[in-house]
Amino acid sequence: MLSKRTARVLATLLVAGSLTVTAAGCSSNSAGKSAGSGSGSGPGFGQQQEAVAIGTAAQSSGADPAIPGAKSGGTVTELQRADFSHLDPARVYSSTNQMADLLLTRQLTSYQWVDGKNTLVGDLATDTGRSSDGAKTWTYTLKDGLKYEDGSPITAQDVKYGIERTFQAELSGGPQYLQMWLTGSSDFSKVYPGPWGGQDLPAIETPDAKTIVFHLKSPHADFPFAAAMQSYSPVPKAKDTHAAFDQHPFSSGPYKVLSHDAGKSLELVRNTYWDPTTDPTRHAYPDKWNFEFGGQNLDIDQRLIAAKGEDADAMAFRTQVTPDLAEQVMSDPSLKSRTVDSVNPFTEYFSINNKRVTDVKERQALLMAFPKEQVRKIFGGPLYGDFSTTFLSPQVNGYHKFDLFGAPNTGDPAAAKKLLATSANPHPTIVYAYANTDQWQQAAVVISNALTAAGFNVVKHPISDQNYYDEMGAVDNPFDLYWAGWGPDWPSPTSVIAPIFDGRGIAPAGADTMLFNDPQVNSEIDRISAEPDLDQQNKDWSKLEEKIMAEVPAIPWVYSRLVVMYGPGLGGVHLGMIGTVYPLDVYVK
Amino acid sequence: MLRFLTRRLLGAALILLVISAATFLLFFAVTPDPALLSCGKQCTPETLAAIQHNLGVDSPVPVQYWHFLVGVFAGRDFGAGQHCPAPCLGYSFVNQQPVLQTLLDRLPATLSVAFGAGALVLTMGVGLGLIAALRRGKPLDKASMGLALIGASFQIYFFGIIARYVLVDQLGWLPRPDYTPLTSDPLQWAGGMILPWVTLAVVNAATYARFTRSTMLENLSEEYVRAVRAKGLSARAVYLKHAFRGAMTPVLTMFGIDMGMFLGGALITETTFNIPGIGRLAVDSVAAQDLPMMMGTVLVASTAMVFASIAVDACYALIDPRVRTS
Repeated sequence: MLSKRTARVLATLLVAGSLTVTAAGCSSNSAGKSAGSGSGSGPGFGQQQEAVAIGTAAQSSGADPAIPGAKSGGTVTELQRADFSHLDPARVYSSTNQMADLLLTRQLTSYQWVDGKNTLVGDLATDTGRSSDGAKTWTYTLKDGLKYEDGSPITAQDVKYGIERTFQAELSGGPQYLQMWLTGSSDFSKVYPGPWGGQDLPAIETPDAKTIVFHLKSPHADFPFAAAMQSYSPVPKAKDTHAAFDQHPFSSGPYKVLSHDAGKSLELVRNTYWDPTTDPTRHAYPDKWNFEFGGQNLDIDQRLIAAKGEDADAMAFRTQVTPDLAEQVMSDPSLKSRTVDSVNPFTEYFSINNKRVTDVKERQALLMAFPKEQVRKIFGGPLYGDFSTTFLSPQVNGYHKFDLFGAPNTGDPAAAKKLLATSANPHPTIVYAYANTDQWQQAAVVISNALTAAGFNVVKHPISDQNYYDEMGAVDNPFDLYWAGWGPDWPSPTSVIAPIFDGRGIAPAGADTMLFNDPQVNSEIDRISAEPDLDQQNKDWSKLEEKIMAEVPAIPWVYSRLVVMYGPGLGGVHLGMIGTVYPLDVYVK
Repeated sequence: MLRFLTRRLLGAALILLVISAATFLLFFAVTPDPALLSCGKQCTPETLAAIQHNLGVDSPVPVQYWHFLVGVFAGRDFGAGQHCPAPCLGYSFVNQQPVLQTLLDRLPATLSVAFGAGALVLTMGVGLGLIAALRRGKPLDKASMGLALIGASFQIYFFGIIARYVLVDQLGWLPRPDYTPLTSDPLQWAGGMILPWVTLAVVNAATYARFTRSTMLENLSEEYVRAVRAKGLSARAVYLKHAFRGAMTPVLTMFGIDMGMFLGGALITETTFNIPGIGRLAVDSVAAQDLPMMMGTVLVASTAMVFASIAVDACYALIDPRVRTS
């Protein structure tokens, strides 16, 4: 699920006209085999991904299966505009921060990438977790031979302490799933203030150094996915340096911090105590990682294209190929061959204000007339994303391709007109709100023309881009149609459908930007969320998604795409679980 | 001179105090609550209040400013155990560092850019201007003025990016712009600074060339120049010793202002070339909504400006004896 802040980041960046969907706080299935283009996609190049499987105990043991041709050694340089805003796992939420912590920390579970397929397996734990009590109790057993950067053992008590730290109000910014699930309260710091004052969290039991038991207040079949978030990493109490931990975390992962010059550079070297035979999800081929901060996106692209000297082994996690260079990169086979080009887990849609536009015929007419393709063109065309007709991305479990209305991507004004003729008002007025940036101004003209052709009276309402999210997210906003986006934190439909369609969660700047509130849907969300069987749950979400789509709460637009270059000296570069390029399989040729 | 300096320094301190109060009010009163940024999903009023307390933004703005001033002399401690020793210019919760520490860390890069570019701007600009004035109306005048005009028409983010793309990425003639401390490797330091220096010089020298040319011509037509010419001084002495000296005063004023701006951080140059100086820090802290750091960079910039103008006034006295007597 996307936090408000995250959604705001997503919104702001897109609104700012940036081609990049540099969203934070999202994880999902990714990286896969080529399997044709997404539903209704344009001339989509690149790959289509499959959903994530839950691995067995056997898949969770031993080392990560070697990548053919990969070898250890070398130094990888990673280039990005800004420094990681946090390294302290408790505060890590944005996708780029999660990438850094993948190298520095381990979790109970993690994602294994083999041949383009992702599987959730036990990382510190021997399996993905054993549930009882209808998915309310989850038990994990730690492996043998787990060590921190100083050679001391990683214990169940440290995992518990790491999770307890996320309750500490001072360490704000991280995801809050486990905290809420363990206390049953969204104001969890009141129930348990964190460990710095010496208090213990009784909802987590550690009967011995290898066993950890979670007692949740409500059933959560997707607990193993939440346990893979970097925020829930082990921290030994003795090494908790409080605020200073953010600049220099104590490593449980394959690398440790050698130096960190905030805003300038970060150097990671091997944690020699990390034992690859205990870690089925991390190859850690390079000896060293150098992160360089501060380059402009264009500069980073040009460096990666030129790939001179050390830059041959350089890459970027999330710096999208700028539209100016996209043509050059995509038309030159030698450049295209070293480009990660994949649909990421984020979906973007145009929210219809369901409180104001109450006639379903009218909402359907909006969808029918909407010029998806013309708008995408303004934002860079096929590179921007693949056209969507659903809310679940192809990278989320439970995704299935369906198109209830068969609207063409260019819009069908005649069909929309017909629909309006059967509705209460054949010429309704629609207030379209958008961020006042170049690209969104152009898009507003295109959208207004298309809707006008279908018989709508369109009022364009620009909002200054700083205020876009606040004004559009107001629960009594005076608009009918506006852009929004969503990125799930893990590849389960629970992290998409529940937050964005639960009408009881309507709040200022909340996730349900459509102000969609259907009591039947709400009770169905409750029922499915409590379902202890994950497969059944995914199936039920799929059914519910179709039922919701029939109500046309919004106009699905695109599944966002990530297009990032890397140097010719690297291999094993692919899109990762969290919507960014993944570091764990990278090697220097 | 000592009285002059004392008076000016006291004035400078007062100006800086006013600037700090104004920026504090502007930033902390007008921008969105920094605590909201790290409050996350389902932000409750309680969590928000706790974060506000930790960030030290839970009291009225004037009280916060008072805490800031006290911190400058006595140091400060923040909620999550962060200590900021005196002189504390605030604490960055983004970098988890006292602001002053980061500023001092970034200052050498900015000084390198500023002094190198300053020297180059002055030599190129004044040199071209002198040549043009000397060869007034001749092809050399037209050529140097034309050249200057072309330079002035460029923007740093245009000229800099093109120059880097051609000279670094494509031809490989110049090293990639980067900052290496002068003390660790002087050659690499200079190599990494060439492009930023040249870019700043090309874009800024034009103004100096045109300005030098016109003030030189003005001075050359003054009575006193005619008088020294009549006395039979050599053209070189007339030109360099008398006319040039007179022409330098206004040029120096302009240079003082520019140096003040360079020292405060050449925002666009540092951002374009990825030089980790005060200018890029300012841009980064705006992007990260790091209010204490923004405040710190503004203070550096205003300090640089104030001191550059004091330096210019002091130099006047050296160049122009009339200033000393008045």
